[in-house]
Amino acid sequence: MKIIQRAFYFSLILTAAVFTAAFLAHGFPALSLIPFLITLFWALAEHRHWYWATTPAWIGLVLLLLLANSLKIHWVYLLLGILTGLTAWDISRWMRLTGRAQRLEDESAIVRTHLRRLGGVLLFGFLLSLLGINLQVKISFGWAFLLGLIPILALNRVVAYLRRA
Amino acid sequence: MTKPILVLGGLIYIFVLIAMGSLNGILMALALPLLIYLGAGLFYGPRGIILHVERHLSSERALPGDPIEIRLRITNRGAHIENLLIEDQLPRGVEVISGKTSLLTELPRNASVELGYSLRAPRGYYRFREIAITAADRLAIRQHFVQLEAPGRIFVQPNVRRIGRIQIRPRGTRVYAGYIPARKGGSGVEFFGVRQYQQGDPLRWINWRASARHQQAMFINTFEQERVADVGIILDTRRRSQVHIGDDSLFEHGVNAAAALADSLLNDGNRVGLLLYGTQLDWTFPGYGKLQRERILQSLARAEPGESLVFEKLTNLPKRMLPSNSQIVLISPLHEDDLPVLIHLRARGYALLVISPDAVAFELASLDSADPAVLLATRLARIERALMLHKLRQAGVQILDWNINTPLEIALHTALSRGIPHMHTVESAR
Repeated sequence: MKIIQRAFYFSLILTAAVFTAAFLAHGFPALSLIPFLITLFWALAEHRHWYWATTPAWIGLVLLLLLANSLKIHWVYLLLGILTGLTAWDISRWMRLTGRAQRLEDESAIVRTHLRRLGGVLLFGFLLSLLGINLQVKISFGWAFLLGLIPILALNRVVAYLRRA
Repeated sequence: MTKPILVLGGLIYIFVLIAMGSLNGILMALALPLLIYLGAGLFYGPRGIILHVERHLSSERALPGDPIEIRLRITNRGAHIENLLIEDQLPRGVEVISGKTSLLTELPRNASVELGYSLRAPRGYYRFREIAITAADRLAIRQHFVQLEAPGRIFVQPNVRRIGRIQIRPRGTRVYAGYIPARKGGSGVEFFGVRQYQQGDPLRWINWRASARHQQAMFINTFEQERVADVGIILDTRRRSQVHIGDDSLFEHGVNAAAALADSLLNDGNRVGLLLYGTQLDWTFPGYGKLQRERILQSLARAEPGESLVFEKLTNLPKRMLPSNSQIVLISPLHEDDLPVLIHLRARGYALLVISPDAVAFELASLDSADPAVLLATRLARIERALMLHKLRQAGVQILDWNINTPLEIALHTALSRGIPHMHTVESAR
């Protein structure tokens, strides 16, 4: 489990670094303290097994990202921030699940397949986001509204399906 | 619906709504990694979990401290599960000594996985009911929790110490030959009396001395018949009569004594029943032999001290359950309130043996015996107890004032070798 633990702390440090650098580079030194404090709290929570703290810390980082976006911080920082934060959240949850098991059948294979899946998802998300940001198509508000409505409706259906299940 | 889906769904909603409200394409693009992450979880998430669980126990009955092997075999009859967390739910009180009780694995369709461990437990009855299953995708986004039935039970029976033959002498006995003097003449060992010779009597039984005194009659010796008897063992499980010091409890000594007595009496061929009197009436109907021994030991494995307003005093002892003129063995530290009931039982013709673990000596072992207050309290408690036991002895009750530091066998033989007290004129306490 050491590899996955190291991966968690590495992703957390990276998240803090990206956010801090983003705020410092855009002239908000006071705000750069917030991501540092959130990630520090997250690391402490993980160390002390305060599992309730993982998701609030992750949500805090996402809200910070929304704030950074409103402050016109460059999208590269935001994209890297969300990817590293998502990695930390995923690994934290994964460690919690594996922590419940006293024995892991073929541990290295389980860790490897998890990291492979996570890596693939992050890479695909990164590429798609890059494409989404750089590919600009001028459409009317109606189309934009319609396109925005599709994911919302899709998510709604998914939630309804899961409730039924 | 699991928490990660809610969190991710909520965040995506927020991103999309703000992006649409502010016409911010970057925010919309930032929602994409979350959407893909959520989509991967939903796409690869477990569907139609059909698992078959089998539980194997190396033994259903054991003695305290004996290791018991438990094996769980889980077979996947449904779709491939990327992450399967199996957690066995152990009954309270057991201690795992080796192996693991939970496992995380990947389980393809029709594949099986085994979970094995061994445990030990103190005396008691332990039931395994369900195992907790968490099935999830590799990213553990979509998680399904199910409880699968995997029943099993273990009786950890009390340690049965072999004690010798117990000298009891109930008024009534049964027809079968045994070891209890039946107060009836016939074939036996102990001289019982003399009667006139009848055709068919063995010649070696003729009492020549008595016959010589009568010219027209011959007399023979008769011997006391030895038969089996009905014995009801009553174990007091009322919490008010019990004393605990750390892990040691007077109740456990009582349970072990009941097991030893039942074993000894059944070995002698007697018909033995057991009544647990406390929270409720747990009655093991009288019976003979090894099967009855097993029934009694199982009942004793389940015995726990408890409280009930109905059974707070011995007044509700169901006397009709016990055959008249039979032997009753009560195992109880005794309480002052119990005295009238026991005297009443004796008055009804039951032969009563009370084995009373000495609560005063037991409690004193954990106290500072040099403390004057403790000494005074001990003295008072001892006087009170001695007086109570004296009253019972006067009523014709056999008493074993048992200091648990003395082995039961020695204590029993010392107490019972004094002979069986004659029944004095006893007034009913009520």
